[in-house]
Amino acid sequence: MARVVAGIGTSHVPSIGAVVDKGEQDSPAWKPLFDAYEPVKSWLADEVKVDEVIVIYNDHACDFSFAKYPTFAVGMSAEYEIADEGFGVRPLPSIKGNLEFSAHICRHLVYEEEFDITICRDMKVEHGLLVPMNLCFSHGEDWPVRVIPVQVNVLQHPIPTALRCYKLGKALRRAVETYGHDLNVAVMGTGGMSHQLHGERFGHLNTEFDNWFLNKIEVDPQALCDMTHDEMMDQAGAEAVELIMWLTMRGAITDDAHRIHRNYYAPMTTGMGLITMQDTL
Amino acid sequence: MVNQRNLGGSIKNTYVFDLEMSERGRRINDFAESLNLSANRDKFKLDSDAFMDRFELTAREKKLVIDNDWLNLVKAGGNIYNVIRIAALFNIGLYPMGAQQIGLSYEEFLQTRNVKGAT
Repeated sequence: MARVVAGIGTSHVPSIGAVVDKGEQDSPAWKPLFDAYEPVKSWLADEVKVDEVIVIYNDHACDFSFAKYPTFAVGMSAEYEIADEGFGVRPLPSIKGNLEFSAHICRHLVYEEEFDITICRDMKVEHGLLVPMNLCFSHGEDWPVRVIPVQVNVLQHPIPTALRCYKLGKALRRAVETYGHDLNVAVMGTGGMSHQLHGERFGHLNTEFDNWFLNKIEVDPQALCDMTHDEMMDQAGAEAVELIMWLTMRGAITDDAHRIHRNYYAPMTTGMGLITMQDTL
Repeated sequence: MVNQRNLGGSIKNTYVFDLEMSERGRRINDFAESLNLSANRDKFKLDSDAFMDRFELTAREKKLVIDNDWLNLVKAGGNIYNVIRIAALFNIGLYPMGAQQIGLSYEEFLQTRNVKGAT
């Protein structure tokens, strides 16, 4: 049977992708970030031996537009092309999917969990998904893992509640555990941490909030589920509400799961957070 | 049911992209999203006015684009990620765009950051 072997919370700041493309990971300004992911990469590859990653991310009006913007969308494709976000296409291998596993997840979510997701047979992926892939996995001609993209509307309010995102994680875990193939699955929640990119509050950072969030996601996710969007945006910046996607990751692992890695770096306008967790056996 | 917008729109200097903003910004966002195709970016550079007319931008909205008035594009309903896309047409990145929104020069803005080299 398939099992959830890891939960990962990570920021998906687009400038990280540009650093990777320029090969500047070792520059003084970026080394503290990339160094923190080295043990994560080896842990995922060699210890938990991940086969598949369910990536919870948001599309930034790239492959989806506000003309039709799904609240929850799940990819069901053998391959996801790299999207052009308005600046050209990044030189990355396309993301490979798993049709049979996707179909199982979609059926389980709709029939067993009453999560009536939008099922996407053609879905291009952008920095919300690709930056976490760059941070957590190395690639040559291809990526070492297959991916199930799960897109969440965190841009156009009304957006799902934090609690709803947490429940989606619980539902995804049950979907994984009812899949009759031997697969090691990681669930990754992406986005945040504190940042605001618009208005006269541009550049708002709240390091104290970010560290509090990193504490709570580990030991007391209910406290985060109880937050309203406004409370989160007030404290951490309007664009920080992406953090509700970390709760999907947290819902997909057990209540008493424990932390393996943690990092925080806030060089410019966004708190870049990392946490990895694993079920306590 | 918990009211998710419980502060009643009172977050200072913040323009939450809700359904009203999305409707107000419909033309700007349609235009910006079209820029995900490189052919459309080329068309804009060839004849910006004609290209924006395809999306029925008002004269004021077109002026905001041409004047690079990022803050007022946001207030006019441009989603921030779409405003970033429009700024890229003029080779203006996130940080200079943001600095302008808060009334600082790029250099002044960088001085407020923890690690200025991480641009």
